[in-house]
Amino acid sequence: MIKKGLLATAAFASMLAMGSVSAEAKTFVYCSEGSPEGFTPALYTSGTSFDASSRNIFNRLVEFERGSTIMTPGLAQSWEVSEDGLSYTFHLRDGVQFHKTKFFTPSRELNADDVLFSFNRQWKADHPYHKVSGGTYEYFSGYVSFPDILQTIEKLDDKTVKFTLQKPDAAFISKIAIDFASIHSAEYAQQMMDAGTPEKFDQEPIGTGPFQFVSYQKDAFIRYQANDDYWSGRAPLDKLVFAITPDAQVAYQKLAAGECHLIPYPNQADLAAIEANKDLTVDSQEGLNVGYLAFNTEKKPFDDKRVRQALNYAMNKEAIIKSVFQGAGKAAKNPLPPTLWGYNEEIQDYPYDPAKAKALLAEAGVTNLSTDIWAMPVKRPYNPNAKRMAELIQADWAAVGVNAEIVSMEWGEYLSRSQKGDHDTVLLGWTADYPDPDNFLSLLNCASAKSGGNRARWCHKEFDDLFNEAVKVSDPEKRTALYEQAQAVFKEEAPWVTVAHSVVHKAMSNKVVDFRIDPLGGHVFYGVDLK
Amino acid sequence: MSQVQNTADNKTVSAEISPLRQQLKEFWFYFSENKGAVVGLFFFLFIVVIAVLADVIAPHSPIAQNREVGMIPPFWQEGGKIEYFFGTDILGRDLLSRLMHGARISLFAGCIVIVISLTFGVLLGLSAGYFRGIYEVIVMRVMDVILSIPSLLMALVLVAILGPGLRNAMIAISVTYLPHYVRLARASAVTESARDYVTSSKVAGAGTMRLMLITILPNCMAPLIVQASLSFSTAILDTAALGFLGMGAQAPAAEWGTMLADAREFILSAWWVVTLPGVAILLTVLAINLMGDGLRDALDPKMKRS
Amino acid sequence: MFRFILTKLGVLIPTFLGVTLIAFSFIRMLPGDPIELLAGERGVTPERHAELMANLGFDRPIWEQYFSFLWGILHGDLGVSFMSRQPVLEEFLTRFPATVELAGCAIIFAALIGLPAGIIAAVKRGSAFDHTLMGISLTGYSMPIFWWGLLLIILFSATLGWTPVSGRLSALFWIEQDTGFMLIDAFFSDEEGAFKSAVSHLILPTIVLGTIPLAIIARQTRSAMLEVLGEDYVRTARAKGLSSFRVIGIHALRNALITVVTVIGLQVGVLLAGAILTETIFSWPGIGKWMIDSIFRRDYFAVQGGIVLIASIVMMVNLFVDFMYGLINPRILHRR
Repeated sequence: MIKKGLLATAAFASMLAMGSVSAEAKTFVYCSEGSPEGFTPALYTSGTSFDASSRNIFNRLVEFERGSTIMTPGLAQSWEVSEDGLSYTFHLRDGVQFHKTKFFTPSRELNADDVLFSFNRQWKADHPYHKVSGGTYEYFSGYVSFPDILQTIEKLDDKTVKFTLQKPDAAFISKIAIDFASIHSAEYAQQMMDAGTPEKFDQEPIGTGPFQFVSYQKDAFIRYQANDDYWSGRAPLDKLVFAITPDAQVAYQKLAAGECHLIPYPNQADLAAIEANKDLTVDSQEGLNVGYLAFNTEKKPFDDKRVRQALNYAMNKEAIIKSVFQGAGKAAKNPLPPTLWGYNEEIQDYPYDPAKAKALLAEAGVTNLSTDIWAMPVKRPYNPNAKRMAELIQADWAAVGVNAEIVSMEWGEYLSRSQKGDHDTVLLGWTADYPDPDNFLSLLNCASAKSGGNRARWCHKEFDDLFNEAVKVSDPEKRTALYEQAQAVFKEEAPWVTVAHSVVHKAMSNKVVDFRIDPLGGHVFYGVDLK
Repeated sequence: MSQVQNTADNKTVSAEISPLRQQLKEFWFYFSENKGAVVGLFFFLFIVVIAVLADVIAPHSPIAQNREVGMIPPFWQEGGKIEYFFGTDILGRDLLSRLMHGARISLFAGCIVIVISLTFGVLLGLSAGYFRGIYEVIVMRVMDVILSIPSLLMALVLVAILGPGLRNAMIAISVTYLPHYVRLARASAVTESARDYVTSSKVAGAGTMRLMLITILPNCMAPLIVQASLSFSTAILDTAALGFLGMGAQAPAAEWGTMLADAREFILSAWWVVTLPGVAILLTVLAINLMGDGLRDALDPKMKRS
Repeated sequence: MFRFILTKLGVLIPTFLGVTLIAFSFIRMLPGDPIELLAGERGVTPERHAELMANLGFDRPIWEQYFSFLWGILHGDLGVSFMSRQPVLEEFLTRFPATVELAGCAIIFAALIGLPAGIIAAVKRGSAFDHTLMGISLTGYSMPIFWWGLLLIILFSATLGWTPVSGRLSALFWIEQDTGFMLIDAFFSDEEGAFKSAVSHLILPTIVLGTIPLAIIARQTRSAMLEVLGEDYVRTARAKGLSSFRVIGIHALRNALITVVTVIGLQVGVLLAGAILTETIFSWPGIGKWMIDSIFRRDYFAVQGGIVLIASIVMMVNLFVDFMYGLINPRILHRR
């Protein structure tokens, strides 16, 4: 009976003749991986929310060039840095218009008030918008801790804004190119406040970017249309749709069926099939990330560097790359990804050498070591399957006489307990917020050993001095030299096993023209076209 | 099988006149009238044997990785090898062996869920029906609360609280099954308490425990057994569903639902890792349900007579 | 009648309070919290953690938190979702129509096929049709639906390309969401083909969610019919020369009604549980999927509010079914 029903409905479905994606107006459908939390990037931290907001609707003072980590002027046409590295003066671009939509018509172009509004909302507790929509600004207050860096933000005139810092920060320009520093319309904010609906400001966003927001159907679609007056020229696409498709498998099937043009995170298992499909292409790029296994250097015997080195020697990274990343990864030797400046090419990784590992363990007087490997319960770009990775490591270590138990728990608990140092060894990783070695190496300094972000709880004087020196210097060559030295110290001391850098894959229809993979993990559709 | 025996045993306790053999014969007569039930029974026995002997008959270890042979298709397909009958998964673990060990986990989970929910359900229900009063009201309202939250949602939240894993999944599922047993046991206890034989036992000075467990309980066994056979199959399904959502048994355990969840990424590239665990679940549950049908047919006439 | 409803309410109110208490204590027992998840790999200092928890109101005495939660419910305020920063009630209501649409279609699908199938099987008891149907329906009843959904997707979407893979509507149609019911919105929209698209998106999820109810309805209709056909008055009616079509027609209809109402009543919880799995597999933007996401994200107030709302719906439907059952079958009312 069921079968009969099936056939009938299926035949019916085939009669419906599903239209494939094509229309006179160029509509680009992106099968995004999840629902955005909202549309004001400063309130959120997930890449999914940034894709839906900052990367397509908004601009920042300084931006990264599309598909690269090179800094380029955004809403600020130019900027100057003072000698002492303490003040930054930005000159705003002329003639930048905010979106004109059904719910808002701007009366003026972008000016310094908008910049002040965007930062002060996050900074000043007495700002009228500070408490709107929950009022937590995790990037601003937590991740880049701007309250500890900023001294003042001043409007010098309508088109000039000056930031003064409390202490020099070589990565400041990179930091204000991050999504949370997107520029909002102060005029729209005022209108919504006057209308008594300030939370609307965060749900129906107005920006200066290449696409403007049309509507959002929860967990289903986000719709955008091209901003005709975009300051850098109108986008080639007319309409942009985010079709929310959390399951990578389903997303791939939609891509193959022509229901969407691009999928962000194809399963590695499907890559071969996608490449074989003549209507589809796969683009790949090394991601700015690193997956690692951290030893808790406060616990015995991991306080002994020989033990850490031994377990480095004991691990067969090639096998991990093959089964866990299915080839879509690259063995890591440094805590920095190779595409980032400051990467030390000279470093030699510990080769896979179980005999050497056994010898080192014997030398350290460690026998019958029983330990644990914490494996993350979630899939991350730097580690698509931590449990599988842990199973492989467990087998490798068993071969040198180290007995390890795999431990897994709920993700929030995992993060907080590993922060407290409950683990012996823990699998984790990092994806860049901004393209600066500082962002990666700060996971290994003494300050973060204290706060817990440093899961190795490794506080090494020599490394720490090099790190602190590099933040103060602004000369790129000097910084590079300092970071290279720091990496050498890191490798010798081996607080981590640097496991892998993942390779990012994007699968798309052949109709897609000029999509560029963003090394920082975003999905930017300005400049993309359809054949 | 053990249930079938139990039923017979319990019947002997209640009706002392008829000898055990007579009872069994009668039971088998009704049971075997239903051809499906007999097929189900034999298939179920087959799975039980596999589960019990998994260590001996599985050709490989269910968790040992063999990195040379990852993702080999079943032997009849090109590239397959006869020593890996149903092929291997990404880590080169033999699928047949994993399915065999999976039978063990699933049947074990089903049994444990029934034992927990039956024990606690009967205790709560009997005591509620026996003591009555405010205690009964509280117990029954708590059961209403559990019933008003969809079982899978309830189980998911409970597992989220207790932590993912097979043990906690079994506890969570048991909790969602409690109300059925409590209601049945209470209803029987209420009717039975009013009967003469209970009153006379009371007069004769029987203790509360003795009254509840030895006098009343055996007389409400039949509906409880039917309910248990029903929940045995749903318990297996729910355990697999939790595993599929990542909240049940954890890797590297060879639980069928967990295997399916792991295999989801290979849905188009390696059909065997996706289809076979599902087939295993379906066939096992179907066999138990077929058997359950027969069990009900066999118990029903007796229930009507009593 | 009036007394019947009063007794029911007398049971419902304490049960509802119990649900609020359970929902309230559950989220406080969950390990991990939304703030840790938000901080991710970089961690959060204890001071900042405490500050953010205080923002959520978690620093107040526990009884105060519970009473303000109850007070909020009375005012239709279930708190604010941590993730979206929007009221939980609003989050729930925007997703609820999607689940109702899916569950409704599943029940209709199950009834349309299950009822006639059950009736025919009963009339032709012992025939090949009867055996086949009972076999299939027991298989349906034993189906792990999460796997069933995957199989259907592989077959009909990936291999044959007959049905879309997931979602509720093709991304090409830009229709307004007035009612939230995609079929209705698409039907009244100007866009040509939108309705077809909405229907084609519903097919697979409906089958998956409807499979178990279908099996149950078919089995129950069959056994209910068998009972009726065996009763004296039916035999008498037949003997009197009334056409068997008429006899079956009249009595079947009545039994069909009772069966469907009962099954819907008993199945509403099962349907919602099934919706969690079905919505996950088909990326269906309903409350089942929202609850799962909220649990995984430790979105406290969304989980707490969601449990209360879903349980209330289950209780309401059960009350309604009891009531309907009483109307169809007045003996039940008098018995109480």
